[in-house]
Amino acid sequence: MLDNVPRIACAVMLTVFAGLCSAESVRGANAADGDSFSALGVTRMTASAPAAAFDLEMLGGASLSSHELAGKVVLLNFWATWCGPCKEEMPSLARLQSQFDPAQVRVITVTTDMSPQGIRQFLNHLGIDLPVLFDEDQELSRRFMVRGLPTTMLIAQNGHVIGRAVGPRSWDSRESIALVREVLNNQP
Amino acid sequence: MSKPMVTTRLAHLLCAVGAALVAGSPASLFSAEVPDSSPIVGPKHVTVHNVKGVVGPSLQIDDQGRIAAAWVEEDKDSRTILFARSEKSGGPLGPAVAVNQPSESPYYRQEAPALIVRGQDIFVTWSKTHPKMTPDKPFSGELRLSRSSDGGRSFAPSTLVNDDDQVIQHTFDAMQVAPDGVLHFAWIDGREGKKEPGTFVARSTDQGRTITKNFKVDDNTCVCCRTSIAASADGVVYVAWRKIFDGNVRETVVARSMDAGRTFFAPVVVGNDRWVYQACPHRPASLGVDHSGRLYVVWYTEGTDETPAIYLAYSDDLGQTFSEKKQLNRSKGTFPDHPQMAVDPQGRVVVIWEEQSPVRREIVMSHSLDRGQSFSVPRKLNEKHGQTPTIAVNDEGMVVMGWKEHAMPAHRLVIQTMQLPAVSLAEAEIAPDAR
Repeated sequence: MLDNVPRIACAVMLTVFAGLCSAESVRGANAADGDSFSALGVTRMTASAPAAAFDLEMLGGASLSSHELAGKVVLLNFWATWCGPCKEEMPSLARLQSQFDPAQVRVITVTTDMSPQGIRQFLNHLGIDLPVLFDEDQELSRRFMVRGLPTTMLIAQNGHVIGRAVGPRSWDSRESIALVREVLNNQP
Repeated sequence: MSKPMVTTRLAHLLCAVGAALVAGSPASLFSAEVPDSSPIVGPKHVTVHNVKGVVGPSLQIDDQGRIAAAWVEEDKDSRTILFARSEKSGGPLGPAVAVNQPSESPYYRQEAPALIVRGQDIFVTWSKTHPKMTPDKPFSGELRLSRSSDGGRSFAPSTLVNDDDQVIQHTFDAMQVAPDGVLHFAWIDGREGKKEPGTFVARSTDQGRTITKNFKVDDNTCVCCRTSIAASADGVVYVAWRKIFDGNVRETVVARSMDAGRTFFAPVVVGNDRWVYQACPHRPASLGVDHSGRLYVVWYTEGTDETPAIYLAYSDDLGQTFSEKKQLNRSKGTFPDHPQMAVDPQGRVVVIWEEQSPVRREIVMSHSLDRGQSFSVPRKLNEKHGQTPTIAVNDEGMVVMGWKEHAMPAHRLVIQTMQLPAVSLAEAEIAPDAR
């Protein structure tokens, strides 16, 4: 089966995998240093792990490529319309984005729900203006090994995955803002 | 919102998966503890769907081996529930027929429609965009039942299953027909406005023309793990779902009804997994009952060590207690996912599931000829990336398996039959009790 996969894609995937493999536990981090990752319950990825490349259609019809996010800190939030915790945390993601210059920090949401009208109404109703990518065949979800929703990947300016949060967070909390600032200020 | 505890186990497992990916071929990752009993596998029948999206399929197989399938297609902004049936044993499927009326707009969801075939009677449940949907309640749908009495050549306008008028989702449904012909429905429903929804049920005693008053079986249902229903030969009805306990502990539970679905006993925890999870797992359990009344349950959990696994357990006392759980997935190189099961009257059990990694997405199958005591080495079925496996079996031990493959730019639905080897009733009956 691996023979059917382009080598470059394989290399990227395995590198992501390697990054996931080297994840430090929050529990361990709590005990060790109590840093901003652990304060928010974000699993830190320590290995050099480039995020999987993507080019997906967005709500509204345009597409967004991962290349357009180069040099930025990115929060990639996987969600679904049937996922209550996902919808609960969405406003806090928008508030987090409002705290930062989009030229430096981008919050991007990804869903497998092909329900553009409902999603548009949902975001409009809440006054949320975050990009929504459609991962129709769950390929990007699979590449990031998303096994539950919501899952949020934290990607540094060099395009490497450095954190992973499974379950909802208060993304506009002091801890969240501190975490993003820390990533911004510690450019790899 | 509280902060979750995240352990290193998942990372360790990912590490093992990565190492296995690097070290060996997929075939070498399965160890053969139980010899394969050589079922006869039929040819694959593939249908290509040049549409934007396909969800499904759901499958049924009758005692003549004819296959029936239901699925959802989305093209541009319209969705259609479709049904097709084979003319002869083993397939292929005939032309597709629309289940919903043109005026009925299906709501998007990630589950295939539930499908039941009994002779010329076809029943399909699906989610319809709620007619009172408003911009502030955009994710809402009704649970509908469509039926055909001419073998699926045409479908009548659908019947509303949920009896509340709330503009919410009524979904993650299951359907089963009991030996007395009564249709049973289960789904997840948040009509009470609690933080977590409940598991609701209803019945139809007149071939789906009318639906009984809905009632709640239990509270604190995991919002996104589909329900499952089974009915035994003597009319016991079982419903399974994932329940949230204190501390975000997620357990697969089963409730039984001894009065043909009019009332249900309190649910019983099946595997005692103690899986603490703050997110939506989105992975249902699957139920089956053999002729002796043994109830089989297959489910996904990550347990206390956060290791993805698929387990089977069974109950010989009407779902009051369950056997030790048996882990079915054996691969060291992939994660198991989305198990589905079919059980025939003789207790021949077939389980189908996904094995995933960042570069692989496979459909595998494993079977048991001794009422769940031992299972064959998982066998890979798909050729391209496969997902959403499903399975059904008839009373003769003929199995139909199906899944979706994404082959840019089209979607493929793949269906394959398999005849299980014969087992003597005596052999099946004397299987040791694992409790």
